Amino acid sequence: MSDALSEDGSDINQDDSQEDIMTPAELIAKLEQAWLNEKFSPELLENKSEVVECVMEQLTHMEANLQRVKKGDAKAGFHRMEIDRIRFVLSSYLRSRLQKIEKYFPHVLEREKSLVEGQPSLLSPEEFAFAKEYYANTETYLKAVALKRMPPNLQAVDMLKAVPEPCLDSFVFLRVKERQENILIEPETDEQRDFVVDLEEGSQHLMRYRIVAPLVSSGAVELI
Amino acid sequence: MFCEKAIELIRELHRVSDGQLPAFNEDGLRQVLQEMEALYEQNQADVSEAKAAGRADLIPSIKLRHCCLLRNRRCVVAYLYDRLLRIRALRWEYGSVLPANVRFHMSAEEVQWFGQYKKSLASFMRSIGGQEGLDVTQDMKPPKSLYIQVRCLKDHGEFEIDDGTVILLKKNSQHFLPRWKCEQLIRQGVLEHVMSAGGHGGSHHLPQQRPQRCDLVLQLVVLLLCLFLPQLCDLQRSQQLRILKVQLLQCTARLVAPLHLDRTRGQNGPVGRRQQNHRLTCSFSCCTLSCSTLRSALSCTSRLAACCCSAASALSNCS
Repeated sequence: MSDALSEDGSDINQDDSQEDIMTPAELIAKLEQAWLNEKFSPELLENKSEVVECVMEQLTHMEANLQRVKKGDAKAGFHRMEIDRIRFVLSSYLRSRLQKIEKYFPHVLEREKSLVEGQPSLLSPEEFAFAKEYYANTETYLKAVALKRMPPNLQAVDMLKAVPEPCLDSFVFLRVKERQENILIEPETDEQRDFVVDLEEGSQHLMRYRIVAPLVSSGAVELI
Repeated sequence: MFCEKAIELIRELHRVSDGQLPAFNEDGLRQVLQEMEALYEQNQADVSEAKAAGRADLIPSIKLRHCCLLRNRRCVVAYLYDRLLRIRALRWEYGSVLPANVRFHMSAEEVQWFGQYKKSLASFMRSIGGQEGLDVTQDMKPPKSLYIQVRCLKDHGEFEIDDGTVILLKKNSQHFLPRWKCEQLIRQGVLEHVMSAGGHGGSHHLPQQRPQRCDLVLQLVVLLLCLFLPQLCDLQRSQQLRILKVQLLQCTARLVAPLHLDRTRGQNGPVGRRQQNHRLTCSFSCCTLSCSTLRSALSCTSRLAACCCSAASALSNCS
């Protein structure tokens, strides 16, 4: 990791005193894993707002350090590239989440509403506000332009039926991080029978997302 | 036929190449809504008659009209929603301010929707991380290098970069600027990223090879001359002949090897030159094969002479 980050290692330890103390390298590794998982999964995953906040803090620290460095120092170029790369990963992560929220907005809001107490929330507060505004905006537009000019019994459109759901049966590549036993693979067609597999640590597989969805959220497998 | 107008709306969107926004078809939408109104009124009349007079034979036509109404509604909503998705994509591509020709194709309500969308996106971006936020519409591609070469496509005036220097962006001027500053302007079309020249690595190796190849060909010619001019009729010099033949073979092998590389490397040399070289090597190898007996050595002198001529012409084409 770059020098600028290691200088700030002490700062981040003070900030995360309630949570596990993470080195900057671990933080960036977590961000990258969250980014890849979000990119390759067909549905919206749990939000990692604490990772996002920590990474934003790191970026501002690094920018501040760069301002202090004297001009013409060769290391400044490397630090700036590091900042650019981290910012790209963070932007890409947030963008893919936003795209999924916009694409499946009724289903996402429905899932958020039906969450049981104690389950981690799907959307961060800002994302929840964005999703609600998007829903309201689209609904007002459709009503104003077309729906209110239609016959009375047709004016209500059920968004949950109108907007397609994410396809959980799409295949994803995954790498196993913790050994899993007795994963039940349900049959896709009537001719097949269900069977059970064991996932060895470090092995890579291609499976339907539906089977490994709980493992992805617990961190036992990562999508590649 | 019912629902024709609605399908026409969908087809219009489908026809336009993806991403572009055609003009809002106000007329088409109005016609579909009128058709829906007419169908609904007919249905209302039939339902009341079916209830009052007990006419069950009206029920299939009521059902048909209801299906047409549902289909019309589905097509209309799909048309409007797809347009919204295209407008949303425009925000990510062009930024907050849309070009005038695009705005011309949007209806008033779409402009309103766009303004609202811009606002929610901006408030979301501002709230990331808890401080001043992060502009997620930047950094669309992974960063490859710190500074990039850009060419200015239109006059943009003065442009200030981080260390205070001001650069005048005049049309066709080229600059070496920090990447993160240029991204926005590249997307707006003011600047153009210039890929560094010299992508053809193959053209570099040819001049280096040329002296080597010339050397080799000259060597070959000299060897052949030594081989055939004085010793042609002298059978006792077969030993010398054999030595010279070995040297000839080695020389040909060294000549052929880089040409093989040339062929595998593919598109870099002009095809004519490669064919010539190929012919050259083939002819040389034929000659070496035919040098095994003296008689054939005699007969192939003329062929050798022809080879030397072609080698000379190839050399002149190389240079």
